[in-house]
Amino acid sequence: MKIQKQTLKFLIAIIVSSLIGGLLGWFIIHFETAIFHGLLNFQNLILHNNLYIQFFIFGLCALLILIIFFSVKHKLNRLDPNDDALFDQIDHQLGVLLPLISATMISGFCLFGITVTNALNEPVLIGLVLFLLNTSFALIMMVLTIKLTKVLYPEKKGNPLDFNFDKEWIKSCDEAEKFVIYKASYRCYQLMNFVYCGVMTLCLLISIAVNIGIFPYLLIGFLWITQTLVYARSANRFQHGQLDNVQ
Amino acid sequence: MGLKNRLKEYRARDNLNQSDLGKMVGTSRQTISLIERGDYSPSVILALRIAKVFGTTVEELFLYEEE
Repeated sequence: MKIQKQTLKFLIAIIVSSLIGGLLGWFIIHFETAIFHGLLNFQNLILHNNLYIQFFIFGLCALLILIIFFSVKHKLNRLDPNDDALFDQIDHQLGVLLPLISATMISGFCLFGITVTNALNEPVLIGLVLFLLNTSFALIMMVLTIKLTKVLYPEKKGNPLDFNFDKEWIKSCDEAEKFVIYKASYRCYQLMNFVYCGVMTLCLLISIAVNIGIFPYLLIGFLWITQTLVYARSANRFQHGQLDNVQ
Repeated sequence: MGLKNRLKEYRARDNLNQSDLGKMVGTSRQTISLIERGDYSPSVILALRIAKVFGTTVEELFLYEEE
């Protein structure tokens, strides 16, 4: 009975998705010109304001990063080992700080890519300086934040500037921390499967109105296949004796 | 099904904070906090280590309740 219900649900989801896809396709064909101009305007908006966008994103992220960083540092200086609530608060702030630093660096790469693409209409040197500033700032803050994390968790090992940092760091994590990392990684894998599927569909729909070339499909396909194969290979290896959890 | 524990109670009895207990059993303070809140079920080895610190049994510290 349960299997029948699940199959029915799956079939309904397929039919609804097909209908939505068809409807979107029809919409794009009928409003092709408007969509084409809309996308073109959006692209021009980014291209013309790329440097300002870089300034704004870098400035805002840097400000947020510094506020959180100094707040954590201040709290760590007056940390009482018996104050579990303060420990949890600092831990939560560090959990926001590290992804924010990574996101700042990733956005820097993305926007510098746009600068290079738009090299004929935009001063590349300013873009390059902004990119280098962004990357250096993110790297320095990453190192300093990991140092702060080590103050909170002295058992953690690894130098962030060492190529083996990830290995050493995870080696110094205990069982619950590893469990959290594995669970978060699997959630990321699951979500990315949906994201790749969604972005691929979006490219297909947009390509009805605008010629986006073949590279988006190649790139998304390459990333999607790589993720799937790496996951499958790792799962296979771990199932055959390389789990390394014997204490 | 749920795993409840009396870690906080035993910690208070022995006047230990989460960091101290973590150091004694070879885990982080964060892990002790996760176990106390019932958000993480420790491995057999860790449960045995914690029980040893408090001089009690795993069954005394961790209560398994079937719903």
